[in-house]
Amino acid sequence: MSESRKVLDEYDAFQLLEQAGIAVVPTKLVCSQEQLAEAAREIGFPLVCKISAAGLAHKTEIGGVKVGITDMAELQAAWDSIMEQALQASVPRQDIRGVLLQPMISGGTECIIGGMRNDSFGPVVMFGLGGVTAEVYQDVSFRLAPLRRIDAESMIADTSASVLLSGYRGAAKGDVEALADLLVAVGTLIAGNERILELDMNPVVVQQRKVAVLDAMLTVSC
Amino acid sequence: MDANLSFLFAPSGCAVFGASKDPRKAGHQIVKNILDSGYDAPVTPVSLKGDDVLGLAGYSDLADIPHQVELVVMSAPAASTPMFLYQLERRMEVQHDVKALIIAAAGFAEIGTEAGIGYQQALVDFCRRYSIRMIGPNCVGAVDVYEHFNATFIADIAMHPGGISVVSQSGAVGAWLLMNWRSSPAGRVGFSKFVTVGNMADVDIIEALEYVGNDERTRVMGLYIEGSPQARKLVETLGSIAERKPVVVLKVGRTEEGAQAAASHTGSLAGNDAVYDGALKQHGIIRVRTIEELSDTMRSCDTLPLPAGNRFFVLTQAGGPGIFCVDEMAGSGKFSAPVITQASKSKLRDVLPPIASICEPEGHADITAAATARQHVDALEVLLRDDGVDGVFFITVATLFLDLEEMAEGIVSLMEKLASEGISKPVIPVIISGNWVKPARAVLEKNEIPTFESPDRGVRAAANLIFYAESRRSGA
Repeated sequence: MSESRKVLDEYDAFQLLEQAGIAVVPTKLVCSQEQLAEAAREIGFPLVCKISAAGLAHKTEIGGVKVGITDMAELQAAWDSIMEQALQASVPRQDIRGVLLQPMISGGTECIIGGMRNDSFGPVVMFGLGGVTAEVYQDVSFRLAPLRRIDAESMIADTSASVLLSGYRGAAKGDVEALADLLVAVGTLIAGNERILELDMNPVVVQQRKVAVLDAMLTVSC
Repeated sequence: MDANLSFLFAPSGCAVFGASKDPRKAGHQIVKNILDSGYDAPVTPVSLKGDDVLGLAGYSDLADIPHQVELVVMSAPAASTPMFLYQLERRMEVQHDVKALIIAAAGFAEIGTEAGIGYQQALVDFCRRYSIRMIGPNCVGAVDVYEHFNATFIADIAMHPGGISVVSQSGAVGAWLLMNWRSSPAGRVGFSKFVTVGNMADVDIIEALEYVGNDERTRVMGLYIEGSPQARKLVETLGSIAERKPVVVLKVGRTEEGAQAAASHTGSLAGNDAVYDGALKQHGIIRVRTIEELSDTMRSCDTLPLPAGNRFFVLTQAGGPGIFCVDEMAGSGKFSAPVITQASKSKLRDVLPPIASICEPEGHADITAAATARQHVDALEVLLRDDGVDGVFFITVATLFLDLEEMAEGIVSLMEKLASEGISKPVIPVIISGNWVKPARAVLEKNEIPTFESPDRGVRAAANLIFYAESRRSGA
């Protein structure tokens, strides 16, 4: 496959996911500092502020993500810091769209859900324990897309995420039903949309009564 | 393309091009194997000098053979391809009877030379022109036990009928499996069809699988594969066979195939082997890790009933091997301990020596070295009659005073008696160990009860049976 690829900004990725019926965490794109206050009122504190820039795959590494922001002063400071560090990291000024505001979600099990188009297998879905250490532990499982409900359930059971989600050491159980629904939806999306080359939803936080997609990266062919 | 590959397995007449009088040559062994397998249509050796081989009249030209030739096995050097095709073409213009080729010779595209690639292409072009089907080049051939036809150059295989069929990408691994069966306790393992595909210039592994998978005598399919550029089609083909019969796959090359270069976590985690793992499981296909597990699992699938559940009892006559078995069961995560009824427990106490340890813990009985052959069999009967038991690991260690053959015969009669009453559950006998126990194991294996070299091998085979049974029940 030698077609040209484009990494979609999180905001665009979220819009594509929402069109496919996949719920993501509420997200406001803020393009100027003047709009921060109104957007923050809509999202509510505490919140997360992330850089929004075209083609930027790893936001955390350049200091582009600030979490646990509790008031306007902190939010203003976060904006300044993110913009400064982005320019220091040589993110082209014209690529920076602004920031994304999202509610701060705490608790739950961090998982990763992925999709990709493999040269030999075609569309594939991945599930596992998420976060930045996903590649260290490789605690993931794969199935060919599209998925039946039973495939989604068995791929969850294949990883140690299933142990955490079943209420390990008194922790609250995770909403495995909603998680399985989400996996099926991702399978349908990647199987039905040949332009999608890679999809990372990481983290996907699984809580007792819901599943929240907190970040997504999509690579499409163009 | 003619989908019928039957002429590879059951031709009415065949010829061996490159036949030799020299027993060290593949061109000799192929003729010998065809003769020894009891093939009843004519076989003709063809060589430069037209030598007779093993009492068969030889020819120097395929076109001169007076009887029908539906299959030609080619074992001459690759450089003789032009001569081979010249003779074959003359035959097709006059008799036009050849339907299939087995190109056993090596030195074609697999060595990467211009000449090798050219010879292979010439074979392919010829086959397309005359609608001939071809396996190879660079393969060891094909076997159909029920057709009494062994067109391979494997030195020592037992043509015994059974329900296993094997498709192998590697000739060497296929030969490894079949030759190992010769050294099993009964000296043979029953099978149906065997085919190696080599370079896959015409018939590829997917087509071979589809053909063999449709064979009615095949009750379980085995596959050895290193990789396929059409992995999805391969897995889906296997999956459709697995809806009808168990499919067991030994897929190697786990470390070689790295993940595709990718920006995402998913892309960098998606090594082909990890995707194979999930895709095979998704389609209810059993994946094994070793030749031994492939063999054990295929034999179990062929002759044992599928377990109704995962409650396997450990009936052991010796402590150590029993613990070994329990550890392996726990490690597999596939089993749960059966809880038998009080009535069954008290029956076990009645039939076993007083020092036997019964159901402490549940699902486990150590009947001790004091147990006689009869007591082994009686205890097995109690367990198989208990509705809480889905299968039994039957572990015993040879002692000088235990009559192993009497025990084996007792198991055979017990299984027949229970089958007549409609009780059919898998029993995994592990009789330890070595040459001493081979006669007893042979008694069981001749009666279609596979035996296992060690508890861990028995556990893996049983776990694979459970996986297949579960995936059928869940409609996977």
